[in-house]
Amino acid sequence: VQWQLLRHLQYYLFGHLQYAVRNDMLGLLQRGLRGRLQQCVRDFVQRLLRGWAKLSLLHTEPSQPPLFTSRNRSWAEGRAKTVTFILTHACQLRCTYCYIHDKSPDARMHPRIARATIDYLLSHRSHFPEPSIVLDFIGGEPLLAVDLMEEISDYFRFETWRRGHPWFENFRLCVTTNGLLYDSPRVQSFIERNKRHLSITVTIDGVREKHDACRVYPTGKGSYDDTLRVIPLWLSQFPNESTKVTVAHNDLPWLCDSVLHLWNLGIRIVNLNTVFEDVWLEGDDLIYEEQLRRLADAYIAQPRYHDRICSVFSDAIGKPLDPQYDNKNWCGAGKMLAVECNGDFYPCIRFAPFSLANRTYSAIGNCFDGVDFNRLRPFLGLDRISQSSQECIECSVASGCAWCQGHNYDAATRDTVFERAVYGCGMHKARVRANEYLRRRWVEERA
Amino acid sequence: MSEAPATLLVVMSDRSVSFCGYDGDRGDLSCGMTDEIFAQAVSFARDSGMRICIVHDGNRLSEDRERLLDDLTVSRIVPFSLLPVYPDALCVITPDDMDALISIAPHTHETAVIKLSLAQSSLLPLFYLRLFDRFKRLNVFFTDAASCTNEDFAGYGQTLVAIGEGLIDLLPSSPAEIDAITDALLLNSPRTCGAGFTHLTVGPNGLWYPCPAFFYDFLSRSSGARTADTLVNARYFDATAFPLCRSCACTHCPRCAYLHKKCTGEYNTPPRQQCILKHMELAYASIVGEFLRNRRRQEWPLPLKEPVRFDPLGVMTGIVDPLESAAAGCVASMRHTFTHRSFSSQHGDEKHVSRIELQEIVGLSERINGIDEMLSEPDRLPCEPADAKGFEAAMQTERERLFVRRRDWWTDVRRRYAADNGSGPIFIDFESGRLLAHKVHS
Repeated sequence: VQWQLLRHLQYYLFGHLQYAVRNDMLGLLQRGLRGRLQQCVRDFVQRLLRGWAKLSLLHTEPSQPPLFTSRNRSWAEGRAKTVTFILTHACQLRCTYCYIHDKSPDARMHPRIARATIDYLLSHRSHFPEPSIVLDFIGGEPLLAVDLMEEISDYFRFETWRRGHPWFENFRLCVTTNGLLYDSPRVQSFIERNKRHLSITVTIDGVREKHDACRVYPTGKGSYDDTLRVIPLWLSQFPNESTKVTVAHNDLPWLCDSVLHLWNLGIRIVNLNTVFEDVWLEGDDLIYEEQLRRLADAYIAQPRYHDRICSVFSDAIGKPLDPQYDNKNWCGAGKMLAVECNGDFYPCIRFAPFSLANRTYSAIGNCFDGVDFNRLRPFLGLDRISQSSQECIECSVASGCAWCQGHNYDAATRDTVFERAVYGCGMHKARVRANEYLRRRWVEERA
Repeated sequence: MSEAPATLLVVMSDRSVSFCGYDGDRGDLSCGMTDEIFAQAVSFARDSGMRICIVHDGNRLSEDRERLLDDLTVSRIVPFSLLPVYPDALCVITPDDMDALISIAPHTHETAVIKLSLAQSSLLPLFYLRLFDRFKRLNVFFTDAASCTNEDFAGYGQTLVAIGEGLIDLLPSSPAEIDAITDALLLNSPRTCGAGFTHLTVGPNGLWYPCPAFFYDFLSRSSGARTADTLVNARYFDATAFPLCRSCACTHCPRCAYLHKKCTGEYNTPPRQQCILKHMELAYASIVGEFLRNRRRQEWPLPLKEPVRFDPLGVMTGIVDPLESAAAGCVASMRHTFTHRSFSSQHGDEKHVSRIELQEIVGLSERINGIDEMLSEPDRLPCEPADAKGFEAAMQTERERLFVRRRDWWTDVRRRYAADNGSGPIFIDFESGRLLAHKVHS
């Protein structure tokens, strides 16, 4: 056993030595790039410790809450092409934070458009070489067009089978819904037929006060009761699904209670996002931080929450980013494809006309003529540095700071995607402080 | 103004010459710049410490306007017809000017811009042959680079082979630089268009644009800025800041902001056609450089940079563009040509007349033969019988003219080869227009 351990250790050390050589540590030292070198050494030591931990050479209590390291991994992460079908603009609700400003009930995708899109995708394999595909149905409210959804999935299956396309088995249908129609027979029949490939997210914002503050009918009535009604059925059918909680200015005070409420309902993964728009007022960051601290306290105090996930807590956020090595674009716009009701293609739903309030973005193609790949190039080539201000580039807590390319474009001073909106800067910093608080509390509790 | 541009381009009218990858001379109203706007533009340049560059139409400036420019550093961009008036200007040459090029005196001018479509790229060797000793530098712009096809690439590939060969053969006589090859080989730092941050444009309508192309494009003409301050920003215009171009080996790529905006929607993002075209030129240049290095048996001053992929974005997405495959095919074909040539050269007993020289001479011979053929059948002359005599006389004069031109070319070629190699004569059958023997025995 000792020999085996030594042998493993040798492999690990050799691997780490290779890592050091690859990162040119000596070269960095010679060139005096102290910051980068420190980061390299830190990475090196972390890798080494992780390696030893794997070998059980160091058996210790987890030094940070499991919440930090748990990840909500998406299906075929990074290897699937995501195609978003905007089935309809209509929606039963008028959520106050919704970025869609035109919920026209007449705008609905024609089946001919959907079929043409699928034909285009399947007949241009060289343009879409991904091994799998995610067909994402969105609206408006996609369940208002469940017939069309069914037609699309049937046509997709048939065509992939007929063409012998590798996506025949490697596909996923994703639906994000407000849940109001979830228990209708038509929707249940759709779920039954497609369950093996289906993923449904029902959005519920948390406690009644928070949910009803934002997610309201056109009459102003809250939708909490109607959504809550379907949650048990949804969880029984999709027990590992997550929900999305959107945080805006006027519902901040109920944030902690809302996440705990959702965990108590049995929703294991809560993805919590602050809106990107310019809605934050002075002092909102302090309320946000206080709410997250309360959440951290509750999490530490109640071991039953230790298998729950809330995306706001992560060990990856709040660190400086290297301009050269950590330079990826945050947003996936351009790598996905959004199809408008009329068949026009956009780099993401946030570039569709009904999402943009201040600008218009011309389509990057349509289902009949295909994608103009030149229009996609700015998105595929975008990185963090080319769109960030100097302050963001040098920010000491840059990691995890999110942005939306569509909103950036809408809020930019010029007609460009190379300008990053930073309305959420204060909220991100509050989040980082809360994360630090959770980390510290966790260590104190363990000690 | 966040940065200070160094040059102000003043577009004198709708008919001002187009000197870059856009179509000029599309004016419907033929609007000219008023004296008032001109004076304001000059005053702005003076106050901002900028150089001024006048983009001329077919007319010279009036004396009043010239006087306004007295205390400024002035450069000019002129059509070929105005070159005698402004011999120091950057001159724009189009295929229509081809016949008149012979009238330019050797070694007299700085830079010329050759503007043509990709379909006309086969004319480029002839342009080069006629201009290599007239100008110090030739910049080539294709007006339809954004819509090129596989066939265009194949044709342009042949053109580059011819220019590469010509460049090698003409090297002892210090020929003009041509950006497609010499810049690709020799430029160490990336060339950039500079629209919107190193230079600005004021149109005849008094509005401000990043470059004249935005004035000529009817869709963007009305969106010109009222003031220069709101326009200037290197952040949006500088393609060298764009991830794809930041580390690109294509230093000679013009990174045209207008073409970028038109094709991709962003000022700083190149379209795939431009990337592939420029990487193809880079590959050709590398092959020419390698050939030169082998022939001269000396170290080339810069590392050769033949690209692996022709579209840098393809490396990121993993998608192979069909245009890219076509370009790669063209480059492979050229490599084959030069490998063969390199072998012949090393064995020292064979000397090619460069293809472009041959093309010119053979072309002239073909035209002479065509005239002879026409005159040998008086019944089938393409004119009325009554005009036959006059037509024949005109054709004879044309034949004489072509004959003299061919003789001059030929004398020049022989003189250069003799000077270069100390070799004996090269033989061409003038009657058939064929190269009888292309071996030169030392």
